[in-house]
Amino acid sequence: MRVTNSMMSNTITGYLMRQSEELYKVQEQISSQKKINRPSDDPTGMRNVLDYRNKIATVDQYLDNIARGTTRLETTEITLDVVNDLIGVVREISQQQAKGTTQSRLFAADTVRDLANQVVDLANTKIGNNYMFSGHKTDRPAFGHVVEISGGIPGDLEFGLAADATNVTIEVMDESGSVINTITPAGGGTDGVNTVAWSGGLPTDGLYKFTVTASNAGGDVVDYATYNGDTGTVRIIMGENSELTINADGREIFAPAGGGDAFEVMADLITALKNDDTAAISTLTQQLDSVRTQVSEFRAASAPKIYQLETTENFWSNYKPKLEQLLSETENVDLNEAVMRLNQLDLAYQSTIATAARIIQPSLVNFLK
Amino acid sequence: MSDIYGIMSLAGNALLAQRKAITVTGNNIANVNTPGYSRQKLILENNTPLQSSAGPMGNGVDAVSVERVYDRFLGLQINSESETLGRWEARMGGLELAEVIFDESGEFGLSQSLSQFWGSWQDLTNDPSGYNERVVLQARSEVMTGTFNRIYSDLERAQKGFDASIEGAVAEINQLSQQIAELNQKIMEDEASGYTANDYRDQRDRVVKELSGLIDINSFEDATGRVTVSVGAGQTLVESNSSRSLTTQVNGFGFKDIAWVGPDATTVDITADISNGKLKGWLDARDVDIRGYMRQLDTLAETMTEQVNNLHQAGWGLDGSNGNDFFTGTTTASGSMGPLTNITAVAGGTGNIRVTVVGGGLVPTPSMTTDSVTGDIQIVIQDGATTQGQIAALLQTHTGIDSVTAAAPGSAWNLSAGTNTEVLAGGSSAEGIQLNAAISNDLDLIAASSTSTGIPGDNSQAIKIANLQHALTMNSNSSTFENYYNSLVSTVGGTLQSANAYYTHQSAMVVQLENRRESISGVSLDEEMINLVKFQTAYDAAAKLITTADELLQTVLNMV
Repeated sequence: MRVTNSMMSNTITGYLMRQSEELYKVQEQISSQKKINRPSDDPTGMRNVLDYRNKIATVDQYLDNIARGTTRLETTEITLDVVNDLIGVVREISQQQAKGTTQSRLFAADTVRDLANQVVDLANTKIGNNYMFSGHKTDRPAFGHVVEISGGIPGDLEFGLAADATNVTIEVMDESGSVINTITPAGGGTDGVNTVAWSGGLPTDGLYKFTVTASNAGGDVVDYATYNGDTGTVRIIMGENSELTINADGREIFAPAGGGDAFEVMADLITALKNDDTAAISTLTQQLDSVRTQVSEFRAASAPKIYQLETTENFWSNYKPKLEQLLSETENVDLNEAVMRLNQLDLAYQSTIATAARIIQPSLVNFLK
Repeated sequence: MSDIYGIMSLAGNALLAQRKAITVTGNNIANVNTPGYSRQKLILENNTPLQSSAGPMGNGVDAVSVERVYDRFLGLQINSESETLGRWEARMGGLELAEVIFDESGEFGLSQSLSQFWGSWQDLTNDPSGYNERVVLQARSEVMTGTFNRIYSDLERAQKGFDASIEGAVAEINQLSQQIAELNQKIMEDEASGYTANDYRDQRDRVVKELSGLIDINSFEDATGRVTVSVGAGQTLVESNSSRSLTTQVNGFGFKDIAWVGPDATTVDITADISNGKLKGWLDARDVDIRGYMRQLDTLAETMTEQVNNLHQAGWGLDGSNGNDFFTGTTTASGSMGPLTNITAVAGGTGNIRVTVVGGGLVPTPSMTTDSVTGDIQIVIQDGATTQGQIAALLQTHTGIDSVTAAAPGSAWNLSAGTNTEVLAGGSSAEGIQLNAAISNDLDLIAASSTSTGIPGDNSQAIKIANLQHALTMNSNSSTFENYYNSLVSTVGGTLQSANAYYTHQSAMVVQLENRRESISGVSLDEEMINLVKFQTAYDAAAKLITTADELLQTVLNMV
């Protein structure tokens, strides 16, 4: 076959270009530590890489959700633990005062009132900016004297009384604590939950606290807080189309249907202590027991939820490293392999250059005089 | 009669012949690196013998002609393979551009934005009334829609880039055609004297090869040595010593189509008839590959908008409002084609398609086909028999078309009467998708609750929207959004990978053919050096012959 100068130079150029391209690719892999630097390097591999990344991000999100849920459940647990203790103290006082004197009972009434207020505060625990036990109404305390004005329409004012009262005064306050409206329902109030309609001037939309002062012929009547929330539940995304439902209805804890209203019981106790009512005090001691049992039952019901979250968290925590490994195997370059290949290519390239130099240079011109 | 003067003239001829041979060799040496040069040979024959007393005696050498060593078939093969090479080279360049736009290696692409978007919906479920969660959701949504917009407009810009290349190529084609025509003239004139115009032929071969790299051509040489070149569906580009030109026209999509300028300045659109060369490569990259990717992006954006909006509208915001869109920015494509007024496509960018009516049907009932990549619709009718109403009704059954109105449903469609193709324009999904401005202004509009009484703690609607991440919403309910996009990226890579493979294979083939051509027609310096020595020695010998003849003459003169 006839070989011309052009042929040789073109062929050598072609091979050198090809080899430098290979060298360039390997160099890129080593520098970026990735086998796949662009979709065309390995289209299926690229797709798997993107899929793995998406999955890992999702798993991270689930772990995050579970962490938030766990915090919530743990906070609930701690809170109810303290509530349990406080109600226990109230029960002790109640039992003691069954044999107490009028004077000691009066002192006890004050103590019980303070303890009851503390329980209300605990019932209104917040997590972040949201009240934990108000169902979906997370913007208002679970228990307390709160009225909402929405869209220019006022809600009803709801509160509890320990006994019938002839005089009831409701004072609505704004954020700074100054009274903006006073409502005095005609006919006073009754023992138990009272609902009074709004009267008087309407302030702007929002949530307003109010205080209740009630009295009857025998003296002051104790008021207690009622539930402001709803039955809404909290749902946590734990996995694909898999959510954990957490009970957030404060009533289930403090005033379940068919059970005792913790706040009513404590208000009744305060009234009984002030009125020196031995029989009532004994009855109330037993009621406090069942209130305490309610709280414990609720705590017991939460235990499986905590367990569910824990096992799911374990699952994802174990699954994630496997995904990361798959991602690494697909995407990352094996440095040893790459460097070996680099050496091989380098050797080939150098041989080609050396050969080229030897072939291209000699020509008959050098030998003719 | 062989006398001394005969010897002189014989030697003189030999001298001249060898000198001519050295000139030809010199020409070869000078052109060793000229691309497309075919080495030339001086054809030497022995002269007609003269009668003498000793019988016929040779009369020296005759330098007959200079010929180039050339394989015509090989030339045609190289041209044909160069067409394919040009096409893959151009297409590969285009796909490389597209690949850069879809760069996901750095974790900043759309895949990441989508992932984070869904993540921020899940964060919202953990605190439905939380302000921070809403701010992050707004930010992530804006990044995601912004990424959609950017990718789409980058792809559009790439398409326009091809227009510039196409313009340049058309100008070059016109220039090359003119050159061929001029060379045709020169060759005809030179060869009138009976000799081959080697150098002009080399030049013309080179120009034709360059032309075939740009566009697929049919070329043949006629008896007078002139080359005719035709393109497209038989339109002539070069005929004898005159050339026609190509030009570009803007089509319904706003991009350049290629047209042939006829003798009476009418233009014929030949875009559909171009099947090879760089022009075809760019046209494919622009109208098939990149347009296909844009269509898939549009489908993704459109479906996301629809699905998220449906759920979001059913939910309640913190301010008590419901029925709010989460995404805005999709528009609907529409157009008119002659008597078919008001053709409206379905909402979104996938509605930007071309509807064409062609003839050739054998029955009045029309039939419809859809291009799977671009979505373009073609309706085959029987010219003069199929009615407008039939065409409108058929078009309306297409999933991509919303409504069609026929001006005169009963009258037949005449292909020659008016326009038979229309681009439905104005649709937008990926291009225009935005976070609803009302939400940007008031984050309370983000609907996390599924009832009006659930505000602010209910996260059910947010959960539903977050679960869309794993819902099978794409590809006739068989893929998730993430799967769909990841497949698209994979497709971009895969198409480029195979274009690369074709290009490499084609390159190797052309190189091999070129080497064969070189082997036959190329100049070997070693060979030429030997020839130089050969002819120089012969020249020296011939010169010696003259000296000898001269001495003979002297001897005769001195005899007297």
